[in-house]
Amino acid sequence: MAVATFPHDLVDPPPGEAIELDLETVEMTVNMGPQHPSTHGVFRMVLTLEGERVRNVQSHIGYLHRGAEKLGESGDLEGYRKAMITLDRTDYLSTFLNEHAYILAVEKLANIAVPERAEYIRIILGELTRISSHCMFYGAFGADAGATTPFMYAFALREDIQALFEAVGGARMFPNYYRAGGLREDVPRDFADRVRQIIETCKRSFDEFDALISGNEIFLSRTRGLGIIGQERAIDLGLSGPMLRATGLPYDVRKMEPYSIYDRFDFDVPIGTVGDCYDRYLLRQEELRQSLRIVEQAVRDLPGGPTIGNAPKALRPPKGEAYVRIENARGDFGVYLVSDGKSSAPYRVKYRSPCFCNLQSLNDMAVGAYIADAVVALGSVDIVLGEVDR
Amino acid sequence: MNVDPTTGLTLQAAPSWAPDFLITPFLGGIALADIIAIVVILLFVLTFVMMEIWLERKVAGHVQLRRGPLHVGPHGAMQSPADVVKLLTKEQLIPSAADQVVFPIAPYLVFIPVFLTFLVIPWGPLVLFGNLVLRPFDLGLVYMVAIPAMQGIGLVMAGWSSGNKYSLLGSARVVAQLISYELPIVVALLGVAMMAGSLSLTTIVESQMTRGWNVFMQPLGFVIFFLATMSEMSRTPFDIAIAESEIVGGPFIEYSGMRWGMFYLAEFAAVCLNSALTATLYLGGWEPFPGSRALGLSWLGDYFGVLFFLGKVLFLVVIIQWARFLLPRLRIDQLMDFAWKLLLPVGFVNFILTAILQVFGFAWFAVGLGVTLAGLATLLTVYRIRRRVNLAHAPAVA
Repeated sequence: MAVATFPHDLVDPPPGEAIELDLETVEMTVNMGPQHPSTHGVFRMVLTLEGERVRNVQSHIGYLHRGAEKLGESGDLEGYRKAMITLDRTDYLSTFLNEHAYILAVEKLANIAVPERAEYIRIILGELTRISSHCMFYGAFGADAGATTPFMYAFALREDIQALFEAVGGARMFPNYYRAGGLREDVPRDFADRVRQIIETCKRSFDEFDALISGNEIFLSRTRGLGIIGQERAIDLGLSGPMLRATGLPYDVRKMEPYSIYDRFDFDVPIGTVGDCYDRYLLRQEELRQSLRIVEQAVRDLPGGPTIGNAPKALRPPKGEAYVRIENARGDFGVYLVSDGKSSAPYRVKYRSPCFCNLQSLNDMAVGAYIADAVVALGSVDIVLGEVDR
Repeated sequence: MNVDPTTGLTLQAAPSWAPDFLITPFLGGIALADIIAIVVILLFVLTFVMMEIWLERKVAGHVQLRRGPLHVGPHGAMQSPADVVKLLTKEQLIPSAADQVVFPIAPYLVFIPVFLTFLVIPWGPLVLFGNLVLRPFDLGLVYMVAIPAMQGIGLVMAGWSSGNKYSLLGSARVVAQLISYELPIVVALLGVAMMAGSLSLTTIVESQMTRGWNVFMQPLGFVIFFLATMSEMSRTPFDIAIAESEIVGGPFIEYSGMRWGMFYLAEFAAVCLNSALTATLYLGGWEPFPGSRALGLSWLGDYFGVLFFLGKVLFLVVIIQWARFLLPRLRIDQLMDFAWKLLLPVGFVNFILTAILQVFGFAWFAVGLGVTLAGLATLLTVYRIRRRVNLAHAPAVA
């Protein structure tokens, strides 16, 4: 077969031979982010495009690095509470869940017991945080796929939950509410009623969420079969949370290594079958409902009594180390603390960030897809850049 | 009826009450009446578009659990004029990487074709004025396909001259989209032209009064035309050229001030225009309801036709706006598949059916249409059942 380069060598081919035009497609490098509506904060990816196809993705992170771990180590006056202040600001969507992880680590380090009531309130707030975070995912994922309305629906529900958090911790976003041995203060008197109200609102809203896009033809064609990650690959990449469960592995820290009092509640761990973007979406929809089940049970059994034990305000745990992991809204979140036994602040603070690991799967999903798919695939990871960069 | 000496086309007579100095051409065939009419239509279009933007924001608000604009004027009705004033006073930036000549003129090339197309729309028959259409001429149908297609040139100029890669991607998408969706539109319009036996929009409306509205006689054509024009305007779910979450506004990304405003004016004017065209071609124009003539109610259309026409336009506008806030966006390959693999073949079926109607009469046409609709319904059902089966892969519970 004669190969001609257009337009110079365009000669008549010998008889009986086909001519093949060797037209060149120029690759284009497009910078997406750190300021882009769908990079979920300050993520930056440099896409190499061939027409509309993505040929390569180069990720750049670190635009939001604030040294959250190091800052947590230097709190002499605030002691062990200081790390929690910066921790809240890393994953700003799973605040209560992450505080729970940190405070569990501190309690393990200093060997402190927690009153029943505090445990239940922690569970309720934690699961509501998961709901609120998945709402954020729902809204942002809809926006990535081009639908603007899910965002508004999700935020209407989020607003209710956020108002409860404000009533409880005094702040909408960064509560800094948990203390070694319990809570900073008791919840407001109408807490249980407000939670029950939110449960009702949630039930209505979840059905609306589903009705809005879950079965939408365009949404299905955009998300199904996109960004499939197999189970083996997911484990190799160190994925966790919904990203891992969507591949069919029922791995949930709440079930595998029940921490706090999660073993007392009846809930299921949804898993996906294909591992595509749509599975991840549906899975989170189902997790919303399962979280609500936990909240319902917890608020039903909510006991009275004190919310904080008699732990000292200034902790000086014995020399040692503690690692605690929990299931936060994005996956397996771990806190590693080291105490030197002398100072009242942790000697070393280290977080195991689920977003950071989940983000590794971006190349697997986006390379070879369309630009529009890359955006949806990134949305399905549900990253929070504050946590990726820490 | 008089005949244009240059083109040999019949022109509808000017209304008899018009004084001579108004309708006598004084410069290149342009009469004073034309200039007055252009000014009136321009003002009407601008006002309508501003109100349409307000309406869209209201629709958006109510769909999205919000209230939309509220504070400027009653129920925020003066919000759009306020926005236009703001845009007019803003600085118009030209990026240094942009083409200094092409960049500033591109917005006007997008807006002007849309506006020009308004000239052939038969708004209605006020008895006093004859048919309320500026320069009624026989090639209205060709004109309304040809002129808006020029928008694409403006959008490509905007995208290319901006010196921005996102704009470039956006304008490449615009070209692909326009080329793909022109064809279904034209094929759908063939059916309309065959039904009326004319390319004049006024005649098409009048023929619908006797033969029934095209939305009933040409249901396939109606759906094709409506969807394809929605795509041509780059409205959700076909808004890949703007695609805020991917290419951040496409060709408009570098524009600011009133130049940016011109693009939006053009987009909303196109919504109004295409609704007006759909109402003219498929919804019986100014006829109040199908069969009004048989009921002896044609006076209703004769006197208040404009109102009925505007009512239909608003109805279609709201449907287009409604779709925008409920649907996600198609991907470019899906968009192309939709045009080439679905709309175009169905358009040809519609064309053949219309030919059958003209040659063999209504009975065979009705049979053919019934078979086609039943076939489409079966396909859709099979597809939906298959989807249900596939959907069974919803997360299991461990």
